[in-house]
Amino acid sequence: MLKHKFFRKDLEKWISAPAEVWQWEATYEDGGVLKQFGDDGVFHQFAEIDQERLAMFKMVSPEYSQTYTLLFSDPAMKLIHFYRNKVLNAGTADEERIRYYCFGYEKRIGTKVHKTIMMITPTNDLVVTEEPALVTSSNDSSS
Amino acid sequence: MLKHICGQCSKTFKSQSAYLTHHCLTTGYSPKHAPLQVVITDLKKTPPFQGGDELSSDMSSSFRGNPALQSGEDVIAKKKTDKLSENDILAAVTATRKAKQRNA
Repeated sequence: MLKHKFFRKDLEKWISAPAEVWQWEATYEDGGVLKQFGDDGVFHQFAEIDQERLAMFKMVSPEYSQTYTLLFSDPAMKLIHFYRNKVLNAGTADEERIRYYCFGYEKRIGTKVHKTIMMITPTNDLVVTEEPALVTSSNDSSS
Repeated sequence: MLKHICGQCSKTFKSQSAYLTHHCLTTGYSPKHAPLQVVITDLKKTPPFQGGDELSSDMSSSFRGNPALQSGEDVIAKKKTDKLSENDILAAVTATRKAKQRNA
């Protein structure tokens, strides 16, 4: 499998980026696509996405056939993407690390900013929420 | 397993073809004359034609006698579902974005 790398300007060297189960793809108005894990082996950072031209944001997986697509039908929508890491049964023999892949948008309506976040769970289900912090387990710690 | 419901009368169908050739006595309407968009959406979810699985259709016998119609529908289904993809959605999204930008 292709090992993706990105250039750390501060260190002035190429760093390997570990593969993710769920990876983003940004599609622009002109049909151009920027992939988090580019076909050319370059890992792209979230900040590289040009949100002014963003029309579609997809979460795809090299392991699963599903695709989760968010349409940016309003230029006022601002893309959000982050990970929510959890450690289940921390400190025990059953300790397990899991990751929620979160993406969504925020949009200003009047004086208020409304936020909608989609969370892809470790079982590949989708949770839509305004409050990602609500999706927690009783015996975990998260970051 | 039911796949198609007329919705206007009580008839139900297992195959896409039977559904499309059904002439609804309640409305006088035939789904095959429905707007293309509706037909395509439905075809996308439907497996290839399986003859003779109508539950309550009186159209099945005439349909079986017309193989050209069967293959014709399959061709439309493939061609259109392939096209009804990301490019169409992207075009619609882009148009909406531009309209909103103009009105902002």
